Amino acid sequence: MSETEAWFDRLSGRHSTLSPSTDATVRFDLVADDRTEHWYLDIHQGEVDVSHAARDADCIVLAGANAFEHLASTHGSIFAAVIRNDLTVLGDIRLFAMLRKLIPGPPEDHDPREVYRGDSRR
Amino acid sequence: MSAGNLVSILQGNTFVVSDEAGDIAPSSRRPTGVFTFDTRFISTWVLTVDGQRMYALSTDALQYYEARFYCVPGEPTHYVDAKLSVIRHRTIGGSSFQEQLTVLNHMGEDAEIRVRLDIDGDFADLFEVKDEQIYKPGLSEVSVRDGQMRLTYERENFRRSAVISSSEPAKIDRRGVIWNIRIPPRSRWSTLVRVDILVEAAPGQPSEASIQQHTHHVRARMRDQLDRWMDQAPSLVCDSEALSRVYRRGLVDLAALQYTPTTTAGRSIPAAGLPWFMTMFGRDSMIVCLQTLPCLPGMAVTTLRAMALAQGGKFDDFRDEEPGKILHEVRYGELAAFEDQPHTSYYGAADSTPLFLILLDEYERWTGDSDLVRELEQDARLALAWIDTYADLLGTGYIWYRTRNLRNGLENQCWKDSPDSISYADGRIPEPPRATCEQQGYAYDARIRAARLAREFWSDPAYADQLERQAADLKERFNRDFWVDDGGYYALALDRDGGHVDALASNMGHLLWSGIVDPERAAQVVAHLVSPRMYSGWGIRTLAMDQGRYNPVGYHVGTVWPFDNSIIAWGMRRYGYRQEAGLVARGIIEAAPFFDYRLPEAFAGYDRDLTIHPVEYPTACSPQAWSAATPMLLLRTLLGLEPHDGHLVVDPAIPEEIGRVELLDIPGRWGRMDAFGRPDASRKR
Repeated sequence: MSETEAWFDRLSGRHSTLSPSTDATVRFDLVADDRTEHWYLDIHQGEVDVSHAARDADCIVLAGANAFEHLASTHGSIFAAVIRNDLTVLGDIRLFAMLRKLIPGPPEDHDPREVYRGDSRR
Repeated sequence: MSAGNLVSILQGNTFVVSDEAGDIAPSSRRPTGVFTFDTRFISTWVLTVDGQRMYALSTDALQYYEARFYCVPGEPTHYVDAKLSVIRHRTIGGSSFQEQLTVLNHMGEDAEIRVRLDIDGDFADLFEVKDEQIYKPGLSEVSVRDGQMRLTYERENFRRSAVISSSEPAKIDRRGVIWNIRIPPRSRWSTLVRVDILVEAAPGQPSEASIQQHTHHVRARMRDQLDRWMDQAPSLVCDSEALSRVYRRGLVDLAALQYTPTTTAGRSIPAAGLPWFMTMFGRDSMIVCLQTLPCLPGMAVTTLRAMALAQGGKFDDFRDEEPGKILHEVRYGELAAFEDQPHTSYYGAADSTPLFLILLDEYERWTGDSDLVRELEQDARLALAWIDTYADLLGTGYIWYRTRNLRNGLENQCWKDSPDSISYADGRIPEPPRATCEQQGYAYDARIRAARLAREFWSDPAYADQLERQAADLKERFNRDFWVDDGGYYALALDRDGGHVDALASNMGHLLWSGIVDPERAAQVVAHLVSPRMYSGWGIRTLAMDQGRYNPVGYHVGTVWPFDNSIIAWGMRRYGYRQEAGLVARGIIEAAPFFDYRLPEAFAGYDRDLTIHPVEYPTACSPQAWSAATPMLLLRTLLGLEPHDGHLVVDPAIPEEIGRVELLDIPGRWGRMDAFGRPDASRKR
């Protein structure tokens, strides 16, 4: 599985931080030399359904396939990537901002309380 | 607007800071330039006539987005007998900066002169300007094409440009613009110099794809917008000229500080302050909304929505992010873009999350906008869950903070966010994690308020009961764990071992506002706050004079912050200390004339008797949003305004020195209402 596939795989499914009333679509167009790969997110009733549909969406995110693969492998911020112009957002940017919440953090980062668990002073 | 000898104009997140002659010179010790999106696009902008720099005769800040400089070429002499004078009239709006340059020839003969504008851009990130360390790994380029000068900075796909053009014919080179002109006797010559500031889209993308487009909205008629803004706010009629002027000044400055993040569909929220904090700043934006609810309730809607949209969703150590946490700060500069700084978005604040809940409730109480309370139910529940879980690092039932970003995270994640702000009475600094007292007060208040929202709007009385039980439990524990018995005050914080961080600080004043103070202890708390150790005569110091780290010009360790005082006075009213609240309000209002009615971020903690004038803190931001909003909260406190059962209760307690106060057309769920207040010497608390 590529880092990009793994990234969308993590985004897929139910999210506690996603409002059940959100009903929206976001499409990522990842452009390589010879083709454009579509990743289509259908957000509905607190769930994200991921497919490769090439349909119109409320928000469209454009990126180079290589740049996106790098972003996915480094667990970089998609918001920082927009400021760097590695991602370009067309349409409703609020949906993009909402996605930021749903993307898992770096795997080595964890619950801040863990540092103190088993601490003998308490 | 001028601070010291600097002149600033601003619009949204774009601002220009120059010296009083209008020049931007790299040698300046204080930051000058043309800034937007946290980047300095123009770092040199120096006008000369026949090689002579400008000398300012006067400067008019016409509107917040417009200034005019009257200058003569050459060094000042005992009297000015200029043959030429120069008027620089500049405006800022949208993504351009324009300067109308006019040269007047006062002589009876032709003036043949060379006018030169030296221009350069260093594209420094605002953080680099602040730290005075500028390192640019990308490529800077200056080019001249089609009669325009173009400055560009490029690093990978990140591209920022400034394009300079002149309406009159000019010779443009890579160092600036030159006009060789002849002005007839007693005539004038004029040109418009325009700088287009471009946050460019990715290569191959149309300009509409730039993030700059998301903040654009029609700014063509800014004067109309300012008039409308002023009309929306209640009118103030009062005996005190200082109060009247500081209120009006504050309204104008809050209009100037309206900032449009990329994610609010063109709507604005209050930015925190010029020049360092022209950005979305969770704590400041929300406190400003709380302060201004009686006057400008509309700001709170956009702010609450923006905060909910940016709510934390995951564990991210670099950004101090956890699910449910409300953000601290967002930046768009190069350091944020390349993730050298964590501000995309940064979550290093332990108080923004309870403040979000407090604002949501307070907003509904004023406006009756229950739809928003329902819309943000899930976000509010996640915020409450954050307080219960991730905030409680040690499992003791308190909000604790400790940054997980050891490179450039914030050591102190409370409003006093400088590294030395949280100390023991003897000056020692506690090891993290720390639990400051006011944050526990906010957590208490947030639960009490959320319980009301759960019961009235979320149809969840069981949750409401649970929140109230948690709040009652917190209050009891807090009054046991934080109370310094032999001093008769609340400790500034708890250290990691549960010991008192026992400095006597203004933070405990916020506890009165939150209602967590045991009523039997309120008198002692208030007595400390107005004692000479803490009260300077102008306001309550951030730290008492006899504490180890006290410094009257220390950022959070001795200065007086107007916003801090406005919250504390509000709290004093809550506990019935009407005279003391009036004293605090009066001191801040009386300080305002010394700052030209623009309350600064902070001023020095010297005794009023010692300096006669309040002394401005040297690098304070001005205008600063929560200082500009301070008069609105002081008015609320003086008039005793409180929404209650759909009505507005008015219960004035006004010092003699302030006199009559009438606030007319106060907006709210009642429509518009007037509040009248007069000093009443016979009425004591």
